[in-house]
Amino acid sequence: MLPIYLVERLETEEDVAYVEKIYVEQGSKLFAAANKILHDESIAWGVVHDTVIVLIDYLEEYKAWDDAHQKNFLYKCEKNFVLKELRKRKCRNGRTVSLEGYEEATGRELADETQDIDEWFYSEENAAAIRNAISNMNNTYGDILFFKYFVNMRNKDIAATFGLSVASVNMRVSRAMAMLRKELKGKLL
Amino acid sequence: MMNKLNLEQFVRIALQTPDMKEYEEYMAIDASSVVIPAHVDRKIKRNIRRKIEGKKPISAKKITARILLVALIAMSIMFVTIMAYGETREIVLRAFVEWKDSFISVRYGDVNGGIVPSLDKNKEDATEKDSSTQEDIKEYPKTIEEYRSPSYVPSGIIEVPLISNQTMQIIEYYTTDEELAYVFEQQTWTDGNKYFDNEDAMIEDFVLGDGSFASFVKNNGKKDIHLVWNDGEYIYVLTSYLISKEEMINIANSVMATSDRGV
Repeated sequence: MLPIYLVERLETEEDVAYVEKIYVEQGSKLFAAANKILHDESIAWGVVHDTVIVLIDYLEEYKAWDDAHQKNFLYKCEKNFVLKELRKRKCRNGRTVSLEGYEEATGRELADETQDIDEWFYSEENAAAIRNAISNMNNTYGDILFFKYFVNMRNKDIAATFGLSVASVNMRVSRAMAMLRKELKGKLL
Repeated sequence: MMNKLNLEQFVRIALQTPDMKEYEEYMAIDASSVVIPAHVDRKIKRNIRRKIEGKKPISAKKITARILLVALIAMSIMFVTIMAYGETREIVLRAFVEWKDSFISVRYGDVNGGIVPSLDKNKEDATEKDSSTQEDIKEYPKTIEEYRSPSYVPSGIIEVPLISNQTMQIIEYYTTDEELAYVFEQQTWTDGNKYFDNEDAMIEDFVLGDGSFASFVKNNGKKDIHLVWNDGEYIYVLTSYLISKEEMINIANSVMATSDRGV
């Protein structure tokens, strides 16, 4: 049996090699996607960098996911960092992002008109309906649900990672769930 | 029986299946023209290493140091709290004084910084004297208050006083052929240490008649023999060039106040 300090060291080296491999394989693709929106190579590489850092933070979970989920994670992370950069630009240009401003200023939640359909028996059809609803949802909300319920990130971690206020994250989660309820009304079996 | 699930639970289950629409969108991104700049590549790889290294678990050494620091702070706060009360402070101070009274030891030695040879040569004696009290501390004469010299002089030897001052007395002894037989020295503790060449030296310890610890020092290839001792007040050195060790011991045992000898 290897000494424990050696095992720890090996694990670390393996992790470094693992993350570097992802970066080498996916870095260009992430950069291309970010640069297509941001049109600034320096900032786009910064976004790639930020994405890799989040990957490291959730490395153990990432290793356990299948390929499609891993790609979803990287892509969703990157898109949220791109949004963060866009928000910065809008703020610099003297404009506020209406959604953020609205949520933070009013603290209002969307009215949940479908509280009466809160529980259902599990069925693959119901799961598929929810999956489709999330998939068709605006990324701003769909991604929040992904990070919260699939990655198991806490609201404050989502906020810290993507440069949002905790109030905004709470609001988006609440709003996404309300949208889901509204979307699913009458569709669930 | 199948339980009902709420929306959150359904969302968790639904998200276990990846969003293939997004996956396909991502896979369709054309990155063929992208070249990662070397400096960006270096920077990101360096940051990857830093980030992962930074995630290493805290070492046991750091944990121990933190525990000790917390313990130290806690003890300091406790001590300050305890000492803030007059009565408690008095109890602690009294206990400390009692402890000090019970366990303090006073070393018997030269108050002027000298070393008593007998203390170093005999541990039992040193231990005994360690436990003595303040009253046992003896101040050695800083000047020679009483000149002492051997009362025994072998036949055919002539005594020739050489030096006699406040800190040292030297007497030489010659044969009738005016050959130097031996030299007697008496000196104070404050007159400095007596040094002997210890290269190839043979040192033999023994006790004189008055209980003083003495040492013979003889260097190989040299004719002279040194006999060194102290009587608790002065240091004596007898250096022989002609006489035997037995005679030297007899001479050393006969040292007494010069005035008593009627000289």
